[in-house]
Amino acid sequence: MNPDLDLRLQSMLKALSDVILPAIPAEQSLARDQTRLVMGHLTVLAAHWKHALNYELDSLSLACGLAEELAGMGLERTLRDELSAAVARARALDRSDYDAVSAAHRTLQQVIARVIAGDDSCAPMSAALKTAVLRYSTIRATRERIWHRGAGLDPDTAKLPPIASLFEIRGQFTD
Amino acid sequence: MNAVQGATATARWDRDDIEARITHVLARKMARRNSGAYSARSDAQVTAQLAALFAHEGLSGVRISALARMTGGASKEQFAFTLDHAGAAAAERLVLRMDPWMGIVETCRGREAQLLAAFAGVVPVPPLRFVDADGDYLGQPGLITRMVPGNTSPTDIAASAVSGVGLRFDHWIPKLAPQFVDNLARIHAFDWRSADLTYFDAPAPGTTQAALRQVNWWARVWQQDCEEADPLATLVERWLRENAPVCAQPVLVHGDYRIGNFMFVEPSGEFSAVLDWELAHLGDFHEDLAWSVQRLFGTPRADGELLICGLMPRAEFFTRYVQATGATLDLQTIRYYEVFNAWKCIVINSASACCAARLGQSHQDLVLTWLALCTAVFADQINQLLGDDLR
Repeated sequence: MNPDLDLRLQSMLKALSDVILPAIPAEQSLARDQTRLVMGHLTVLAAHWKHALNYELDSLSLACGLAEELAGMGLERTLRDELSAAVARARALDRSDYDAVSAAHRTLQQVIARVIAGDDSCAPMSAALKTAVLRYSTIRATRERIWHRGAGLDPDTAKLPPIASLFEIRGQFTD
Repeated sequence: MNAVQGATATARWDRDDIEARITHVLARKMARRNSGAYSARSDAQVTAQLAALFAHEGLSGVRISALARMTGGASKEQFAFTLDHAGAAAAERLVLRMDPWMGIVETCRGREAQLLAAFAGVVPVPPLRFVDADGDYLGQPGLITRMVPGNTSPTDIAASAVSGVGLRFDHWIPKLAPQFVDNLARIHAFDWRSADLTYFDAPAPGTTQAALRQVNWWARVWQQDCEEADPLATLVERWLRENAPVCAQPVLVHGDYRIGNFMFVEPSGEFSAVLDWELAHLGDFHEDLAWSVQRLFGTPRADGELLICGLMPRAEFFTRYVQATGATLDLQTIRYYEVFNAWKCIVINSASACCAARLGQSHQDLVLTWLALCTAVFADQINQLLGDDLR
């Protein structure tokens, strides 16, 4: 691919910083702010695009692990079957199709959320449920903080490893 | 920490116990949902809408000039302008704060206007001039205040921040930190029962209603705006219901008391305004304390210690607050509201921000999707707080 995606993103950033932003009058503050944000988004996207499919695959794999753990917690049969079916579909999909992986992840999370929500009674949730979700969420939040570190919004950005590290240590985060 | 008052295992949560005005504005948001995309208002549109409001207010010979869009918030459209009219002693510089079709939060300009009126003379606030609570004249709900001098960040310290996140105060800290605490103490000591706050419903003292109403409010928003189901958000909603603390005496909670939401003048450093009252409600004072100490609003000092809102370490903030108010802090209740606030921020950043952007119903979708990138910071905070239970 020539010009490749990195070169095109780099060209866009240069045009925004060297030509477009200086041409916007100081009093057009919304336009200036949004131009800077476009530059920020493009910088983050440049760091993301190469890894996006792998990131979604790992996110799906992580959710599958939680779903399988929840399925073993004595759920009502219909919900357990729905959870198992969502996991089975997720495991069987075309792993090279970003949209399919992303959609399967969303679907699986919806079913998981229904399991966690329970029947809306005031009965307290089980310690096992809480433990499983927090264990999952701790890994997920760490991954997301690393994934979005380029935005610089995280107060501990400097302590976060580079995005590439997510895929060097995949086994630690996913099954 | 109390369990649910009067709840039994077979009872169901009352998810509809939400303040009437909040229920109204959330329903109003949903009614606009299929209205298509929203574009930033043009100067001509704003001028015409202001003229309609001022005509309704009975002003004649109205001249609107020097209209300029303002930035800084993540939710409302804001414009500075000069108003002159036949009955005015002099032209005045004003600020219009107006709802887009959807923002990062859906709130009520009428509530905000009542608070600006009530708190005049209590803490520095922008003087209220006009309000159109339901957008009858402005097209969308809006309020107009007098322009207040000052800045949200020091002019001698370089800053690059969105909605105040990431600001530094450095040598301004000795001047600003005491005022930050004192103004919060005054807000919480305010006699709200004697004020005109008809848009507000007070929770019953000595019950868990203060906490549960807040959970219901933001659970409703999550239900309306959720873009992607989130196991942690669902788990935390349950936890918040099961662990709601009793609030002995409700106070006026600012709801967004943090860096970026106060202005001060230079060189004195004197506060000129406490801003952004849109999330205010009657509730538990611990909620404001727990909001101010969130990591995202903090700035690390040179030695690595996090300064809450860029001003002081967490322990010092609590000590100063106790000295200013005489209140007794319940650290378990602080922890509860830290979990609640982080969850609320997930609702706002992950659900509402992305929903508004996907629908194109804000004038700054780009800001909303940018702020959504920090959702995991809040999730991480919750994991640490609730993870203590597992250790």
